[in-house]
Amino acid sequence: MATEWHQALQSQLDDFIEKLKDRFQRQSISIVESLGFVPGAGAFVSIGSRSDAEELFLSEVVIILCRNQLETYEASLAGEFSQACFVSAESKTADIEKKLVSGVHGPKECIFVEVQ
Amino acid sequence: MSKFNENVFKATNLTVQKREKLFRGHDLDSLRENAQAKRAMSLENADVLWKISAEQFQENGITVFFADTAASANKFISEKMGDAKLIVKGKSLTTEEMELRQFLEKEEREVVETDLGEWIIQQRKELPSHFTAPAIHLSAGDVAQMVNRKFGENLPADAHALTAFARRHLREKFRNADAGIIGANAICAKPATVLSVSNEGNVSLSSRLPEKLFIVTGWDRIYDSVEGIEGVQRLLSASATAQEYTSYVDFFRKPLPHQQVFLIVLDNGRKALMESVFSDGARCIRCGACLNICPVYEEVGGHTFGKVYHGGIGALLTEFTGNDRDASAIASYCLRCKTCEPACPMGIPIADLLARLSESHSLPFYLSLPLRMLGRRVGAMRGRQKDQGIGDSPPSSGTHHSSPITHHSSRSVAVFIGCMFRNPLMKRERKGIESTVARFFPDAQILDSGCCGMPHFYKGQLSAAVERLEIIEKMIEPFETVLLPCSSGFAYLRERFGDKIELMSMAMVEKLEKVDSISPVYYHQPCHLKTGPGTKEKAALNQVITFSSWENENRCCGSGGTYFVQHPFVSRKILSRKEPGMDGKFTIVTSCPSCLLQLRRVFGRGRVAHSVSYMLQSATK
Ligand code: SF4
Ligand code: SF4
Repeated sequence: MATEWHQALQSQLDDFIEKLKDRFQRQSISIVESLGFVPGAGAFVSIGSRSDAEELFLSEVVIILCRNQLETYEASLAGEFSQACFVSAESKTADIEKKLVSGVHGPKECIFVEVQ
Repeated sequence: MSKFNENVFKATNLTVQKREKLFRGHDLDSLRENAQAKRAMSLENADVLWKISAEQFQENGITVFFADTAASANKFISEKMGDAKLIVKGKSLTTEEMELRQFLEKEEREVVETDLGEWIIQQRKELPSHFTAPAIHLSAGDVAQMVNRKFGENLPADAHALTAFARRHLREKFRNADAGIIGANAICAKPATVLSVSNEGNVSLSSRLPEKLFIVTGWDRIYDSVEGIEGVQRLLSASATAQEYTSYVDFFRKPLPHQQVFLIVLDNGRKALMESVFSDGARCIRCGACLNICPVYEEVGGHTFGKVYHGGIGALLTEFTGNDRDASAIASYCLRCKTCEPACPMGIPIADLLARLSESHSLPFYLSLPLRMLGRRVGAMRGRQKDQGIGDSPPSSGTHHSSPITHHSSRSVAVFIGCMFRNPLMKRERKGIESTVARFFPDAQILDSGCCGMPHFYKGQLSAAVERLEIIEKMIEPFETVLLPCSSGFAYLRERFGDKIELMSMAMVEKLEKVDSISPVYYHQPCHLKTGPGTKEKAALNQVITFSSWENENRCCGSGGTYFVQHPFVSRKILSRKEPGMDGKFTIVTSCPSCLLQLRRVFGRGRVAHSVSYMLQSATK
């Protein structure tokens, strides 16, 4: 049983790494550390400089590392920061005939990685 | 004349469907109640909250400027812009109201709208046609045509290709901009924080890359705490775009090291709105849910209204931020159907506020004349009431009385017929009501006293409406139950007099057996039965009538009392949405006499029946 589990996990990880490799070859990718994750609202990322913003919003793929689960939206905002952003998905629009298109200005894909 | 737009119709219907799906999965009712209460409380304390937050923002290095008018806000921004030449701008209705972009362009600055929809309409030199979807009136073909002509491209009418082009074009603007302008959806007082939501990420880029950032917001956007903001923000996303959270929610407390940040707080009539009898309207969060569901908006789109704010709420906002002539023109498009009210996350009684607002607007003679005639009838009734003395002439059962009469047993029933059944075109229906009373409510007293005052109320003739209500209050006082065959009159009087007012069709049901019909019978839901106890009418009638399903049963028919006289083309266009797939022999049953006359314009007399007459006829068979 344990082996099946392990194999399944290993194959998921392999897929993920393959996906990343593929993207590294053809797209800009950035890895951003968040302050934590609030279910629904997304990853809460502090932005302290122009380059922080560029990393979060100008790459084609952004990977957001989430080390903590923050209790609530309110609790996230209780901390100190200059500027911050809840990111729950990629940059998207439905402004033309309500058709959903990803990657209008910012990342075309946003990957949240829970780090334990 | 109004220009009809199929793109708007498709897009709004799609959004409404998505929104309904989202709301089905979540209990947003308690969220709504909470958010409304928090918003109302914050607005009441706006002065104090702005003081607290402004002090804290200043301490944090953000310059706060309170502008009384759009002109003073524009002047301040222009001064602080200095020699900024390239400006990237996020979507903001407040800046549209200020005509900020046009103001800065006159100073020879390049101002680039970065929200995709805004960017498209900027290229076409148009106003936004929706609060949250500015290019809703355009097809992909329209956008491709614009891009190909203006930028020498050869792109297909494909949303992906067009968006990719905009991404490339705007990326350079973001990188090189000297200043950014964004709107704010909310300002939290404690701790002082600006909140701005977006899906595209253009707000995040416009606000973080340039050295100067201008955040423009309205005086009404203040909240006391973070807790107050979250609920409103979730409702905003859910109501505007059918998402619980947008992709990005940006927060600003201090400038970034390379930045200067200015927060401009615009009054421009907002304080007056908050202090007026229309203060409920100040809760508006510009989500556009009322537009998506409005039968008028979905046909004509935003440009017909001619201003930045559209639909019923648009008339109110224009009255305070613009002028009363424009507001009156916008208000004239409103059917007062109330379809928008259940969709409004802030619980704003839009149609009632417009009724009050219309008091100060002049009505065209072809509308004021019939209302005056009804008003004269009210005066005559008042006279008769005085002459006879209320209660001087006890009625005999089942007879007609055109004056208010008392002295009934406390358990008695009255039937208030209403003015629509005096219309010669409604003779047959009137007869049906009289026969129904004689057969099923033999002890009921018929009150044949004309109008309930609803038409006066919704056209802003408030004193006539109040006078009417006073008479009716005395007239119905002795009765335990008052039945109304007219659904509009029922909804209007029920709101004012409570449970004793009942819909006659629903009261009849328990006295009848179920009858099957050979041909299909469809239900038409009058708009005034879309809220309150009237929503249960179809379920009640189902005990007697087997309704066939009709996907357009809830659609407005565009009648709105006299609306078809005021805006005949819009009314007819709305009515046309009821037509698809309706062939052969069928009957449409409704409780609204005004809808009935409207539906007969396309389906003919024989195919549309009043609920009371229809049930009586079925029972007689
Ligand atoms: S009352 Fe009806 S017509 Fe008027 S704004 Fe609301 S939905 Fe539109
Ligand atoms: S009136 Fe209500 S539904 Fe309409 S934009 Fe304002 S908050 Fe939204």
